[in-house]
Amino acid sequence: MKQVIRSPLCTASICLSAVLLAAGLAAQIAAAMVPNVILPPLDIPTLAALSLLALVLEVILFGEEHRFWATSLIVGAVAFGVLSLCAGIVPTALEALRAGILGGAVFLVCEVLLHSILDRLSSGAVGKYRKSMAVLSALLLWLAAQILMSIGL
Amino acid sequence: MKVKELLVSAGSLLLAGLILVAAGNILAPTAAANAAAEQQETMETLLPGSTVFTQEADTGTDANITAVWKGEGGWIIETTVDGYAGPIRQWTGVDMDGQVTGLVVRDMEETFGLGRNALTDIGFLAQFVGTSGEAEVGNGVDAITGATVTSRAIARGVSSACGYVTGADVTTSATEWGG
Repeated sequence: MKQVIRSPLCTASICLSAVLLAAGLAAQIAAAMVPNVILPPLDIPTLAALSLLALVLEVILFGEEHRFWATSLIVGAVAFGVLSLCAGIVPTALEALRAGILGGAVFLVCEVLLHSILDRLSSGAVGKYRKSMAVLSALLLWLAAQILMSIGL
Repeated sequence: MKVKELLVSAGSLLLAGLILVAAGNILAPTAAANAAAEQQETMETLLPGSTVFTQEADTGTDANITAVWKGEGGWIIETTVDGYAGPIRQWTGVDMDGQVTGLVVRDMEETFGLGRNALTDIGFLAQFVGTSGEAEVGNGVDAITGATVTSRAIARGVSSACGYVTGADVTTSATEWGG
């Protein structure tokens, strides 16, 4: 069972589910307790932040996982589509579909970029600080994603 | 192995989804009660002296106006105008004389540190209070630094709100457009 859980498909699903669950619960509680709160829109920087959090969590908990791109795309699309609808962040199935497609693409791009950076850093002097490098690289990628603000649903 | 991986993967997503749906159902009554209380409190602040607000059908031609409430002392007009990054939804309180009594931005997607400052920039928002007629940035209204498009959008919302009330026959609660 442990081997199954550590498979690239499962680690992606588990980490992405955990991050989206935490974000969804936070959004639900904030909307219920502070009705006038303005939550961040589900645009590319937000999707990138959630994707990068999941990828960093995966590196910290399970090490660096390399998957088929299609696997990442499908896991990202299903997770963002289904969980955004379950959390009530998107009101309709059509918008959930759009969130899923955009989320899957963003998750895939974030994974490719993050792992590309980590692969190149691994042979250098900072190679032994993999987890710290993952956090810092994710932060830089998220800042870079800000340029795509307002491109969303 | 592949089947087990798929089951674990689907199971984690399903579990997260179920928790979110359950949390949403549990929080729904609290959310509805808090939203109603917050709406009442905000409207009383926007339109001092009014306590009862009745939503009326907006049959006007101004596409910026998305909802209308009538209070004893005036109107609360909800407008939705495109800003820099997305639509800006705001409520503007306008008294029976067509003067702005208050305004608040309810939703926006503007840039953090720039357009988002419209939420809290009291100096900017206060410029509209007490005015009537058309609000225009550069003509008695100073824009927020670095957020001219956002400022103009908010001014357009105020203008639409004032225009709705100015064209209203306040003695009969009917507007010239039939609201």
